Amino acid sequence: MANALDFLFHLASASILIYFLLINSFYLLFIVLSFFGIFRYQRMTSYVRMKEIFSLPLAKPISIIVPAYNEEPNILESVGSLLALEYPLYEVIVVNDGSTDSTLEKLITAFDLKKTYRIFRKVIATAPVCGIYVSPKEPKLVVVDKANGKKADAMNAGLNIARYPLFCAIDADSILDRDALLKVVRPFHEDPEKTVGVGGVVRLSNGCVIKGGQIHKIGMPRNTLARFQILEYLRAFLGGRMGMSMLNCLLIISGAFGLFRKDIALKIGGYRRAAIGEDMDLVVRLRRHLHEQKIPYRIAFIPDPICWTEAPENVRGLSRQRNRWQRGLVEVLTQNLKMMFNPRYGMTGMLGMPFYLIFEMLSPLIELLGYIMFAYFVATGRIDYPFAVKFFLLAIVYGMLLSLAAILLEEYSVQRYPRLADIVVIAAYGILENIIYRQWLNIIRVKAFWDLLRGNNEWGTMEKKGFAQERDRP
Amino acid sequence: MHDPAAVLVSHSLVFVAVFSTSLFAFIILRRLIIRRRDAHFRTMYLRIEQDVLRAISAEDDQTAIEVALKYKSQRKILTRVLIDFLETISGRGQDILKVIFDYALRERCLKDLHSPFLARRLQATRLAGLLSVPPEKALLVALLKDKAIIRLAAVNALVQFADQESLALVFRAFEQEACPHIHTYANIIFGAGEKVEPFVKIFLKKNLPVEKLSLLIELAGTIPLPSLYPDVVDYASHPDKEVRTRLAKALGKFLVPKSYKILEKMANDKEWEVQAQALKALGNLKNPKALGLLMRGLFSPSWHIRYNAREGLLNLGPPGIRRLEDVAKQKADRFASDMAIMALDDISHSQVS
Repeated sequence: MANALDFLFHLASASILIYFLLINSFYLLFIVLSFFGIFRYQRMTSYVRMKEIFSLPLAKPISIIVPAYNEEPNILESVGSLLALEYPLYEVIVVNDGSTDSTLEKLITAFDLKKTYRIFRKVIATAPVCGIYVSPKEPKLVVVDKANGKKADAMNAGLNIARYPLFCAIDADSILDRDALLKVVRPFHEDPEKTVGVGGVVRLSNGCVIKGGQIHKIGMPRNTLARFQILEYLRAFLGGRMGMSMLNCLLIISGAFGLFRKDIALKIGGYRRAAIGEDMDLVVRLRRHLHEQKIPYRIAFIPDPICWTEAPENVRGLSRQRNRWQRGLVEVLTQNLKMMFNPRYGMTGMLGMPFYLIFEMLSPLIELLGYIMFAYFVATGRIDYPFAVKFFLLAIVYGMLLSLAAILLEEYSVQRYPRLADIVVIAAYGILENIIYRQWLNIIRVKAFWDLLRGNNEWGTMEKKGFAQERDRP
Repeated sequence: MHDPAAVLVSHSLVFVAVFSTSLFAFIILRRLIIRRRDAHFRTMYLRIEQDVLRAISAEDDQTAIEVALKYKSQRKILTRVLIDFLETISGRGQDILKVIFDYALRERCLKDLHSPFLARRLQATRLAGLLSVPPEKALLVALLKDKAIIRLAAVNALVQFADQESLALVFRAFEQEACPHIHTYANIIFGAGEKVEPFVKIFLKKNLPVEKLSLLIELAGTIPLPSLYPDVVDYASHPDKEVRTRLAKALGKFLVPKSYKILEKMANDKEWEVQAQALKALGNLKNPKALGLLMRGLFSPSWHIRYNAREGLLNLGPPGIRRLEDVAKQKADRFASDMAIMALDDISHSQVS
């Protein structure tokens, strides 16, 4: 019996080692591909004047949809920033999703909104719309007031009202660079038939100084959790998503900033109302639909257009966010199991979906198993301490290597951190994240499985600090 | 004997640690070098900018040549300065910029047009389009057989010359181009404005695929080229609804009074897309005879037709608005009254603003 148990533990140890090797190899592969992607993008866009898009007669107009739930601290700054974007023709639709704070009142006062009698086609069923407001001051702005129905429902309400053929999903706590739309729309002009979705880079606004709805000065946040997240975002967007896009298996376009074709999104019923991770859910369903209909398509990621968003700075907010992300991931993957390892779905089925299942969804469970094994070997006195220490160090240093590669990608692509000290700080947090932070996140992600089994599909809220507070910093 | 796993982990640890340290050092060093390079770039940029400005003010080719020769070795910075100036000046000033380009950068640019590297060819093609002079045309034509992205850059460059020969080449390329890129062509061709009229006229008579034909019709409307009315009007009975829809859209921009009859017929088309566009176009014509058709459209079961009929009525001015007020009061068709109320509501808001 003891021998069998021992054998099982050794087998599990070997499996974990192989898993460790594979996961890091994939991450490294994505980073290498990202380097190629970023270099190519930069060279291909040299001497291109983005403002030329202004003069294009067939430039596609865009509806920006901003779902807002209790966004009182940020909403004016965010809407102000969206109204100041450089783009020939666009509208900003803010969907107040039954906020319990004064989000709507602030908008009404600031933009002198008037209730209008606007008729729209209810292509997708949503919670009741209580009123549509327009602003005589800002003709581009439309504010929809509706009963609470969560983010996906608010996006669908925005889709029903949107007038233009492309829609851009933006979080209400996000700020876009002034030329972000001009940059993100390029694939739609280059290949209008095939391109159905384009994602851009999302960066953290924590620590930045914001003036007039634009990032005025980029800085490092003082909050430790925000610093950890800066590195995570760099790895995820510049490393992971760019690499996956190169292999045509990108499954997530962040809900904070993504541009899509409205007709195709409506064809698949818009956002799934019950979805926990509505952004990934939309992209996977789009891919599934287009593969099943045998329609050639392209979902791209562009390393240049930047969206700035506020990251949670407290343990509660971050744990809720990560718990929701993990539940969203599990939900999307389990609902689309048919696509897994299915050549009918191309690279999405053969690489994207399996990668997310094995290396993203299951990774917290496997990491937990690793910790249990470690405890078992310590308890039974059979631990090879030199080996364990070296392996632990290898894991840290390898993680550090990936973080450094992501920093280098940032340096090559946009180089937004002006101070050398910022780079050193980010790199240092690449080491520090391996102590406590990583284990804590792992526990949260494991707990997400338990929450999902219990039927918890709450969205969770994040305390908003507000962009304005950053202004007061010295 | 050593455990192979332990050996592997030890060696991997050493390798990854050395690699990571080197990478970190590379990032820091690179940043320091770039900082110095940026400082040099800024200083040189300002210096070149001043000299280019001096040459533009002097309006003298000799000064321009002197500037070109002086900064020939600063290729990247000079290119940047020239492109930035191009965005802000026109007329004789642009000619001076082209002289500087000719003496400092042209040779390298022409060489790069034949580079085996795609990105370099692309950059050179774009530069040639921005700053080059007619002798480069032949080279650009050769690039029309290159990869799609280069072809588009070459077409863009050729359109800058805007002479008949260049435009003929651009249209020939349009004819041969695969459909996914034709929208980009249309965007580029639009830049040439009314000069494209004879070519659109010729190509409308060719047996083009539906996508290209409908795009040409739309282009004719967007520029607009109302003289092409007799050439496009026959497409009102084209079997493809996309062609008919774009024709209705174009007729709404030509504003040729005699197109009323055609649009009246199209407003009764079997496809709702064509009906909707025809109603909007009828409104643009501002012919009061269209009131009846637009009113009928306002009671259509299709949202799009109701919406465009509303637009048409608004465009007709006071007579249309009076009809909208009547429809807003009636209760028999809620959808029609909703649309009319919305239209009236929109006018009141636009009047406030």
